[in-house]
Amino acid sequence: MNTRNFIKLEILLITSILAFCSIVYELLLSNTLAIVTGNYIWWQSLTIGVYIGGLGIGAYYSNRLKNTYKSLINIELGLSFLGAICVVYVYIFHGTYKYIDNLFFYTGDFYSSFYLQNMFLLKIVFFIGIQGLTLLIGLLSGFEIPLMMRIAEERLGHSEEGEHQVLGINYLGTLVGTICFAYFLLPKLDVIKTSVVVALLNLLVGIYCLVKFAKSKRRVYAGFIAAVFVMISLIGINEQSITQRYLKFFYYLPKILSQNNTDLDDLIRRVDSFKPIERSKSLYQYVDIFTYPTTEDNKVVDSTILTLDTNFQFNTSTEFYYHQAFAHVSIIMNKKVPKKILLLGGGDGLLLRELLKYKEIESIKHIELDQKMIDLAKTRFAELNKHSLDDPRVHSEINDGFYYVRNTSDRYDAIFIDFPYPNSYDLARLYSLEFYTYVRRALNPDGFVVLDAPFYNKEDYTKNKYQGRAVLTQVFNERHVISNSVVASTFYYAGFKSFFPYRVSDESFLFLKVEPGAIDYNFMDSADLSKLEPQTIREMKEIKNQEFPYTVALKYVNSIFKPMVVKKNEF
Amino acid sequence: MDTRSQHLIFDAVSERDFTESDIEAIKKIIETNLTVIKKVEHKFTPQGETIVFILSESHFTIHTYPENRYLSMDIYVCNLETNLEKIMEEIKAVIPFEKIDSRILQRGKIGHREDNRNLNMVYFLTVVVACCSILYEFLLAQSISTTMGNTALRYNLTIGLFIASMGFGALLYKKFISKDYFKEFIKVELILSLVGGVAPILVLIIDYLFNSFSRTSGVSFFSSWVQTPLFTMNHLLIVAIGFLSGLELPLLMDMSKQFKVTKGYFVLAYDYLGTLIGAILFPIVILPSLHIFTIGYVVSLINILVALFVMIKMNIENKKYKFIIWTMLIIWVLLIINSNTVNQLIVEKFYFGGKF
Repeated sequence: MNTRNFIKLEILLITSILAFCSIVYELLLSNTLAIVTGNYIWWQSLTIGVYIGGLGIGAYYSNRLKNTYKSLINIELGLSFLGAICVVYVYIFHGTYKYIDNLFFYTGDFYSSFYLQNMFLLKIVFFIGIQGLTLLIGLLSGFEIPLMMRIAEERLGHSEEGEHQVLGINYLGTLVGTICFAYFLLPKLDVIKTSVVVALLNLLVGIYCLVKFAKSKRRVYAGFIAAVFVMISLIGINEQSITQRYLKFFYYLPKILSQNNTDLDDLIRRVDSFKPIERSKSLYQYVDIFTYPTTEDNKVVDSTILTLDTNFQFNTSTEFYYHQAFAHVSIIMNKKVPKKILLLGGGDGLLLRELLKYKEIESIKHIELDQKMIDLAKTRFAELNKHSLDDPRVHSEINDGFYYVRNTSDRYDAIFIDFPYPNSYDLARLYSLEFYTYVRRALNPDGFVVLDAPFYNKEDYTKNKYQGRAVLTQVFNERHVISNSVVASTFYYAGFKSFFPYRVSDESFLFLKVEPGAIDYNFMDSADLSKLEPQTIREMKEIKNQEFPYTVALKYVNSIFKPMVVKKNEF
Repeated sequence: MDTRSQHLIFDAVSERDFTESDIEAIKKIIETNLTVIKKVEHKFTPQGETIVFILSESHFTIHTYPENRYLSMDIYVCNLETNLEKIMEEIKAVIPFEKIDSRILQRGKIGHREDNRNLNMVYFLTVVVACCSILYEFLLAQSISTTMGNTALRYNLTIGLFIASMGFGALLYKKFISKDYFKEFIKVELILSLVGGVAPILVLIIDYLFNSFSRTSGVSFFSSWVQTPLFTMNHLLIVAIGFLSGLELPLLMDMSKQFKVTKGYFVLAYDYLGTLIGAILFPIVILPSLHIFTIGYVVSLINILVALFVMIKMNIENKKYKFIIWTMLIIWVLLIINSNTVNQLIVEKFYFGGKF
């Protein structure tokens, strides 16, 4: 190979590695932010936007960099540093944000610390702090292509083709980065290890450029490189403890706040004293399991909580409310026990446990997306769900619920839908006109559908709540009405003309039938309540008095072709 | 002062020896078409002649080499109106030439102030078309996820494939694009508008065809015999749009160099800006307010308007393009006006496979 070709190869190789590193940093930031905040659409699109904006500014001002080679070395060292710290930075910043926010709005129970974040000013600070880092990484990455184009021009002479080749190879590096991240780095290494590995790669490029091009100040650079290397190694070695500290802080925050002490050393000691969070990553989501002490009839009981992508799923000591209301209230309302049931979601097997109490039920087809959930239900939660997944009447299948109803020719007497709330476009698909139309098709004519969906009633949202250090007045407002209307209208236009919403404890459910006027609202009078716990029965008495305001109109319909997402107002 | 000029460079070899009257005839043509201020002529020994005219337009020169039957001629005019082609034709009629090497150069661009305005136009176009491209890609990601599911994976794959095929577009740019940048740009915009605008609907039709195939042939829809071609066809659409967008960027870089000696990465900066705008607007504003097919029609319309704008601004006369632009414009507007009915029909037919 002659020198010219070697130089060309060298330039293209460096460009592609740099592009790879940069896009991985961006993906790391957007994914970490999406997970910690729970607001996917907003953070993922904003992060990619700010990153690309940074690239633009970098490309625009790159001609201000006078010394090409020196600038490149500086940028690589800088990027390596920022890339290595980016995940840890998000953890620390988000943890601090949560802590300060909760100081003002601490409510004493587990749920509140997740749902009550109200300080606008704090949100702004959080936003600028986080996206400042994204912009900086984008900016430094934006310098890279023009610098590489300049190096190509200086070393190989001017050619437009060279310019286009640098651009092209940069795109290829970005593609490899995107695919590697989605299929290899994130599932195999998780976020912190990924940041360490990629930062090291970036540092190597920096060292190569230094050895190859730098003429002076080699000592100073060697010092910098050593410092960055030590920092990257420290992050890599302490990966476990960093993740654990953050997760503990995240989940046990209400407990931490309930002990009145703001000394920082003491805070860290207290965080470390909690039991570790078991985090695992499935193909689709993070599954976190941890023990949480709750007060029940003045006794402190250790209960286990499971979250998916940090969204609360169930608490072992309170889940019976939810699953009993789900299974029994709907069957009582229907006045007839269905024989053939379809259950979509609910991989934990807890709803199955309740359904299997009916001898009349002949078969339950169970569709779950995530194998991980089924595995957990068969091992860790097998006691809790009374081995419901091993019951001969239950036929479990790993499949996408939407695909299943779209392609099945089976018909069911009842369909139970237990999906996460529609807070992303991906999940909104499972609350769409198209999905419910297929659900209706899979239903026998007098069958019913019941699902757990966000639906708001007036009573629950107009109370003054005394919350630790603050009194919070929640107001039932227009947003709740719109959210209700989206759900209700989508059902109506999918062909479900009878519609009954009910709330038990903190959960709202919807009971649906195709025929208009098919619901007898006095179902409680002649109900068989033998399968229910006394607490559930107490809560059920309230159902009759609940008022759920909504309007049915075409403009509120959530379609996969025009998605409407019920936005969560949180960071 | 408008510094833009035209420079005719004309080299030719005659079939026969020149005569005195040939040269006189050429001089006559210059005198009638242009305004001569001063003439300088010099005859060399034993043969050959150089003639220079200072024109109010600029200058005219001719050098003859009778022994080679060769002459070399320059006409430089400081305006864009003079028809140098016509003058050249008149000269060609005087002498029967055997070989001609001629071209008209566009001079004086870097001295021209108005070019800054044209340069800004290129930057503006860059922002708009970059925004359109990312919107097409998001639309495709969204519509493929309606038929194939798994939105998050679709978006990741789409962005990756889009960026890579842009890279291929940039790499293969020289093979596909000729020097007539503005015309080529219009062509790329027209194809993009057509492909991008109907791509979301095509996704549904592809899905419908494979569904019908699986129902009639008995091959399971989930078998790789159906899934592999389905996947390939859907993702080819992404590659097509990415490739065309990849041609756009170097094209815009070259367009900007028409007006000013400038570095390509300024265009790159504006391209990023357009992408940024599209990436933020799509999930937060556009997707919740319009049907995805309608978004496709609107973005296509914008692309067509960009083509029309360039055509008018750059005075490009081309009957074929003009016809296509106006036809597409009318179709997109009609589609947008009737979008509710059309979209519903398409969804009913191709997504649900008829009413139920």
